[in-house]
Amino acid sequence: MTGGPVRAVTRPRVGTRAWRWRPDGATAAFAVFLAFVAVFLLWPTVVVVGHAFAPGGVIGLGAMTEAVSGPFRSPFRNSIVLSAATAVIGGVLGLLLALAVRDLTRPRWLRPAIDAWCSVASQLGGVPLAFAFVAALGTQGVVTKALNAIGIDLLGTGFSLSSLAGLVVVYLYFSIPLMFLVVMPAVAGLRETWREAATLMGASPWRYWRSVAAPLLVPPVLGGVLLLFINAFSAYATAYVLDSSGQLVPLQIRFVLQGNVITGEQDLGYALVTWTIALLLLGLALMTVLQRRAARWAQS
Amino acid sequence: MRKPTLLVPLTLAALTLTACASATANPADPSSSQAAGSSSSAGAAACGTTVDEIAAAAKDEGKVNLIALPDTWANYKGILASFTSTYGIDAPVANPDASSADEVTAIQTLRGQPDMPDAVDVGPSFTQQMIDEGYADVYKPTVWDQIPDALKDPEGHWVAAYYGVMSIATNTTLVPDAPTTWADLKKPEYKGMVTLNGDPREAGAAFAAVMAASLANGGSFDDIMPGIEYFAGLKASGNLQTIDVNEANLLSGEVPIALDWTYNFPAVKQEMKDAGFDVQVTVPSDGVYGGFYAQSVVTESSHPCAARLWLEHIVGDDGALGYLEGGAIPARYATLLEEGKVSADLAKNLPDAATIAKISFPTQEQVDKAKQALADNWGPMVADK
Repeated sequence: MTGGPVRAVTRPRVGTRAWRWRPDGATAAFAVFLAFVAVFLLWPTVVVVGHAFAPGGVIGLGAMTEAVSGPFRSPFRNSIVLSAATAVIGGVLGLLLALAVRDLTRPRWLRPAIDAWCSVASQLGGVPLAFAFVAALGTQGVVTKALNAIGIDLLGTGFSLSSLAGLVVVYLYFSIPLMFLVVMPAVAGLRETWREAATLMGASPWRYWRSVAAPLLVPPVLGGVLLLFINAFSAYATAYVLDSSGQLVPLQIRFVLQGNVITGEQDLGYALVTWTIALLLLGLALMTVLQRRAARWAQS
Repeated sequence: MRKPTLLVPLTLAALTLTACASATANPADPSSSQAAGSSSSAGAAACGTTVDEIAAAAKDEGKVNLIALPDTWANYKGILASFTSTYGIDAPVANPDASSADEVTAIQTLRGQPDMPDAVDVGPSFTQQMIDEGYADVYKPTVWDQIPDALKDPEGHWVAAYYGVMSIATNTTLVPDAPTTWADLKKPEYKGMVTLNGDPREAGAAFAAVMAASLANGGSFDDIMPGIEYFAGLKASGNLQTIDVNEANLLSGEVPIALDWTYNFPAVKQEMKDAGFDVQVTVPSDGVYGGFYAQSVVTESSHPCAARLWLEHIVGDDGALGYLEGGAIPARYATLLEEGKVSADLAKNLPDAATIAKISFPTQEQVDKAKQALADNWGPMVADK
């Protein structure tokens, strides 16, 4: 701060300064990111949406309508039910786990062990996960047989890994730890002193949760639930192994785009993808609205 | 205000990229179809007319790019090994587990590059698409006349070097009383055991199982509905399970009864044995259905002579006997039988001769009709229940 008038950042004069622009580290890193997003996300998305709205090269809504009518309606319903159940159950259990772990100091190894397990399990999916559950809860599974030995007939109850309920159980394996990882920083950020301060000011435990803890936790919890929803909606390999005839959107996309039987229906596949993107954007918008509400609640 | 400023360059970048893509793709299209017509005749003439001449020309090209040939499928491992050792030509297989749709996509995306597949092995429903898009070159192998009419395109765009028969494979360690007919599979003792290899809307083997079940239940190539109704019944009774038929699920005993092509089991049998399971493969007597895969030389291939040589190899004696070893029936089965080349040992993986003689194949129109019926009805009638 030498004397002189403090000036706002001046705009470089176009033409004279532009060539002097030198990339610094941040710009370079951002450019790489931008290139990745453009090539692997934006470009494919534009192509897919373009095909969906112009089946066979002619602009029209034929493919988009077909993708949500007749036999394709139930896959969307099933996928939404599956993802919502996974998101809500996984969200609640993940949050409870985080709250339980927060005050955990002993045994000392437990907390890092849970953190490490969550980091690994939240990323486990696909064929290995499916097979782990087949080996445990399948018709010939270890747990199934152990339960049988003590007189519980798991399969007799109608439970099957191929059913929607079965898929929810499998998806929870990665959903709970993912939720834990997402909300743990927020949960850990709840200072003990705040609770003490609230108590000193005469707040009941309920009042503390309603006015202090909940407003701080709701935005990350909502974000986490949305993440679980999207994660479950797009899960593909696990579902394929467990229920190869599944009425789920990702599997229907496979049937149309990758199969040995249906041919020449690519545009229908692109339309299914477009609807999926639209659904996820809708979810994102919904969450943004909810989070804004939550933020307003936090201020009041 | 920040977000829009970010979005603008991103959108611009995306638009430019797509524009480039379509700009490069468009001029290529007309030229590719022209080249397809000319290259087929030129290629055939340049390679020679006998297998020896083609082999010599192929040797100069050095390799043939193949795709979607799993080692355990119809003994492709053995057939590839005999090709390489006989002709000294490299035959790399890209993405062995790819589907037919993947093969067509690979041709589309690798067009004009040296890595493009030179020859393909696709499901019957893809042959018309291959011809329409100008990807299937015309080539009639030297043994053309010995290939039955149902197993070749009259103009020579494809030949079917082998076919399999829909069969019931039973893990007899878990299920001592193996079912032998489609009717048997309905018995309550097989609850939760019957497994299709994939979904009939997607997988060729599952499609064939539904077709075979239709034949067993009063349907025909023109009418697949009885097959769909049959599986709806199996689903309702709880006999049908929908887990995927893959190696892990077979070896863990999770799939006690699998419906699949005869040629998928010889390789698995040994592994099952190592895992402590015995397997029995039966062609159900009440509904016999055969299915082939079609082989084509790809147009504009970088190794046209090697691709032709590959086709000669798989329809020739070496390839045919290789398929037999893998439980598949070679196209020239009748000729091989006449010439006394089929030993009892080779025939042990096959259904009996009378069953083989009965096998016929649906036409493209019949397949299309069945596909449509499946697309409309399999979801609501079977998968959703």
